[in-house]
Amino acid sequence: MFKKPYRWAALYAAVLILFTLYAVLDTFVIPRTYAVVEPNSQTESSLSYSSSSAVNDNNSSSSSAETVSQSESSKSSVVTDPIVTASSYQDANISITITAYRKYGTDIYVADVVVSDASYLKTAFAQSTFGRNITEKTSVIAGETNAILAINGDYYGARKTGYIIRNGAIYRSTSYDSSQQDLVIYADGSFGIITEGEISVEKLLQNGAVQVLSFGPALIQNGTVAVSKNEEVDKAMISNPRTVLCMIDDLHYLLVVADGRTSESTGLSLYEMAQFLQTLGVKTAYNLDGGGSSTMVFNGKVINNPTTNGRQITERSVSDIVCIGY
Amino acid sequence: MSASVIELKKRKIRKTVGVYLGITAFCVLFSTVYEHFSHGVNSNAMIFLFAYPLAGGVLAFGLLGLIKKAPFPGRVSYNLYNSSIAALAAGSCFTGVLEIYGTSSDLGTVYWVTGVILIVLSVIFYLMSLVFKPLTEQ
Repeated sequence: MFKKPYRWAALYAAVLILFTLYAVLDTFVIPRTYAVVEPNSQTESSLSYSSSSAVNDNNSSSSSAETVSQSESSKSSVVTDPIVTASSYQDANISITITAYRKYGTDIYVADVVVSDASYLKTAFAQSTFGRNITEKTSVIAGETNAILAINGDYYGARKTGYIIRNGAIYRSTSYDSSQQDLVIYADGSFGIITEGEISVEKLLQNGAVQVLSFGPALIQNGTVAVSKNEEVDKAMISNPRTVLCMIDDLHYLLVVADGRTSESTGLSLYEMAQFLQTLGVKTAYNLDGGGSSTMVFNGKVINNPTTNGRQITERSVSDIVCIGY
Repeated sequence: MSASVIELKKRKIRKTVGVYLGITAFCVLFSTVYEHFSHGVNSNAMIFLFAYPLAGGVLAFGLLGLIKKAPFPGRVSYNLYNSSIAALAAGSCFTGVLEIYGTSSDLGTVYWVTGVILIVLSVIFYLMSLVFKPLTEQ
């Protein structure tokens, strides 16, 4: 088939191609389950977070037992006659108002959320499963968890490292980078920005962390813009769709998604997003996975125009969401 | 080396450098197109993909051609060396794709380890050919 001098080249090329094919499938396609989340804990409405270490995806041992309790009196789990419009939701515990802004040649969707209890701010995994290459569209995860409002999360599945605490349980305790900034949501609903090199995930749990999202960077800290004009996510150097989780005040949040990569919306740099959020009175803002992942879902309907390539408006499947609901 | 051996070496060098030049051009084209559609996400591993065939192929064999006393590598050494450059270039491409996507994989290490091992083996075989074979047989 091949001349003798080329047999080695043909054989080696075949091995290299097959290995590369396997590596690509392993990275992007083959699902690996590390932990299945009980449905009632994923959408936990209970005020007690059972904070045991659920799993560690690099199989190192990790254990922690902590119970984060919240005031029972502050919460009513009964949804009474919500008033719902195309851009708002209101009941006794949750108030959501979505406003569209036009800044920097980009449509920005801001969901203003006020809740009576911090436990209404939740996170959820795709397929209720923590793992690699386990994804679903934001709208699908939102539907599975009965979320009223949802945005995409940090897409933890794209990375093998970076702290992950969700709904009071540790899922990953390996640091991505000593300078990696994480968003910590505490049991009282307050936000904190930490760097992974300065504190362990176990210590975070002891300190009352209920959620830890690992993407970043922090856009606003203590009401001040925390990114420079040239700062970007890893190697992204231009305007892109963005997803940001913000806190204005106690139990008062903004869930923000900006369009991008289209002729209608160019997208925002991190600095532009931070400047915009500052005008809304945000005290803490944390950048989540953007680009084609950026999606906002309200009452089962996608609000923004998610796109990966700018040509097709379609949702990308993601690992996890941040949502508001019971 | 005899005149015929020198002429044979020149021909092999020209052919090898030509092939590596083609591969370098392909790498430049591939990384340029890939970066163009990466929405501003840059990866040095992708941008400098061309460096492996350029430095490891064009320059290395060009240098070998300039050293008159250095014989052209034997088949085993030649195959191992080319395979190492292929592994390193494929590893760089794979890393670039992952960096642009924003993910990582432990399997990327396999390319680098394989590339280094093959390059070391090729050098060992080349040196052994110098020691155990008369230059006239090259």
